[in-house]
Amino acid sequence: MSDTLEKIRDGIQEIFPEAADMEITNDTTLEEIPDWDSMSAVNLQGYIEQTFQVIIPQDLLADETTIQEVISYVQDPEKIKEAM
Amino acid sequence: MKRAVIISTGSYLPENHVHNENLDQFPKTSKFIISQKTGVFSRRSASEEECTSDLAIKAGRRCIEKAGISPEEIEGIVVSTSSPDRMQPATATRVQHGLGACHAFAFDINSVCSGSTYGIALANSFIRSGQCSNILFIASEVYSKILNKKDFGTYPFFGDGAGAVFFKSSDSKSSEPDHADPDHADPDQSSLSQPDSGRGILCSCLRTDGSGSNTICVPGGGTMMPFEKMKNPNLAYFKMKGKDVFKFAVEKGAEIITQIIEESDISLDRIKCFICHQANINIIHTIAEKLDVSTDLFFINLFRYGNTASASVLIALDEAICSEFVKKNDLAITVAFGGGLSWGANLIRI
Repeated sequence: MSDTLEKIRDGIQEIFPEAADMEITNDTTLEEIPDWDSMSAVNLQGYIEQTFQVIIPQDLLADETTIQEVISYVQDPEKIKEAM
Repeated sequence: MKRAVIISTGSYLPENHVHNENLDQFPKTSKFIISQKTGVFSRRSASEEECTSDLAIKAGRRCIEKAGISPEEIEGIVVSTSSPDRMQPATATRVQHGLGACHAFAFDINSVCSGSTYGIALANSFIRSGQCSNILFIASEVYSKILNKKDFGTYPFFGDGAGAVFFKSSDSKSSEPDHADPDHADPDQSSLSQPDSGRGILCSCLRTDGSGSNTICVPGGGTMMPFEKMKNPNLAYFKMKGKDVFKFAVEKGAEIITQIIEESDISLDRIKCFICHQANINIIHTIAEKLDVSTDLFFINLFRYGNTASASVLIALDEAICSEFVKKNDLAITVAFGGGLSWGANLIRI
C-alpha cells in the first residue's frame, strides 16, 4: 500500500468511524464511505489539506471521485488542475 | 375542559457571537457552503464557564418576570435538554435552585430536538390532570460542548440557547383576561367548536420511530459504549447522518402538521403562524412547499442562532410573540423533529 493511500485511509477511518472495518482501495469511490455527504466531505478536505499541504478544489471531492483520483491530485496537483 | 395557557415566554442567548467567517478550523473555500446548505450565518456560543442550567436559569428568570409571579409560586419545572450539565442529577434541579423555585418539583426530559413539542404536551397533561395549576417549561441546550469543533457535518449547524414558557391552567383567574381582547379575536371564533374556542394548548401529536435511534446520537459515554470501550475519542461527540436526517425531517415535519390539523378538525388556512424547529432553512422551505403554505407564515431565526436543538422552538416562540409575528388568540402550530427518531406538533391558541 502506498504511503499516500495509507494516510488517506487513516484519515477516512478517523473522520468516519463507521468506515473502521471498510476495505479502502484505489478504486473505492467517496460515496461508498458510510455517512459520506457534502458536509462531511469538507472534513476530508481539511484532513488532506493539512496532511499533504495542498489546497483541494471543491469539485475534486465529488461522490464519484475515486481514491486514486485523490491520490493523483495530492501527488501532482498542477498536472490534475490542468486536466480539470 | 381546562388546559395549559401560555402566560409568558422568555429566552436567553449567550453573548458570544460566532459568525461563519470565524470558523477558522474549516477550509476557507468551504465557508460559503454553511449558509448555502443550512441558512445559518451566525450562532451563539456559551462561555467556558456557562453550562446548560445557567442558560436555562436566565431564560426562566426572564419568563417569570414577564409573568409577574414570584418563583415560589411555580409548582413544577420541566427542562428539555439533550446536552445536560451532567449525566446526573437532572439539569432541572440546578435550575430550580437557581430560580429560587423552592416549591416546584423539577426534572428533565430528553427527546433531542423534538423535546420542545414533547414538553409542551407534558405541561398540558400536568395541568389537565389537575396535578398542577402551573408549569414552567424550559428548553436549554449547549451543543458547542458536545460537538466536535472540527466536524463540518455538525458543528456549523448548531448554536447554544434557551427558551422558556410559563403555563397556567385555563381555569385560573389570571389566565383569563386576554380572551376578551377584541383587537386580537379570531374572526372565525363564533364558528369554533367549544374545545378550541379558548386560549391554550388545543392538541398535541407526538410520534417516535426507535428503529432510527442511530441516525442522530452521541455514540459513546453511555452504558451502550462506556468511555473505556470507545475505540475512537470522536465517538464521544454528537453525530448525525445528514442526508437521512433531511429526508426524515421534511417527510415527518409536513406529515405531523397534516395529522394535527386532521385531529383538531380545523382547516390549515386558519393557522396564522408555524413555529418550526430551526434546523435548516431548506427543511423549512420544503415543509412549507409540501403543505402548500407560504414560508412567510413560518417564523425563522436560524440565520442568527443556528439549530439550538430542543430550545429552538421555544426561542422562536418567544421572539415571535415579542415581535408580534404571532398575536394573542392566533392559532399557531409548533413542530419539531429530531433524534430518536422523534417528532411532534402542538396546536396552540396563543
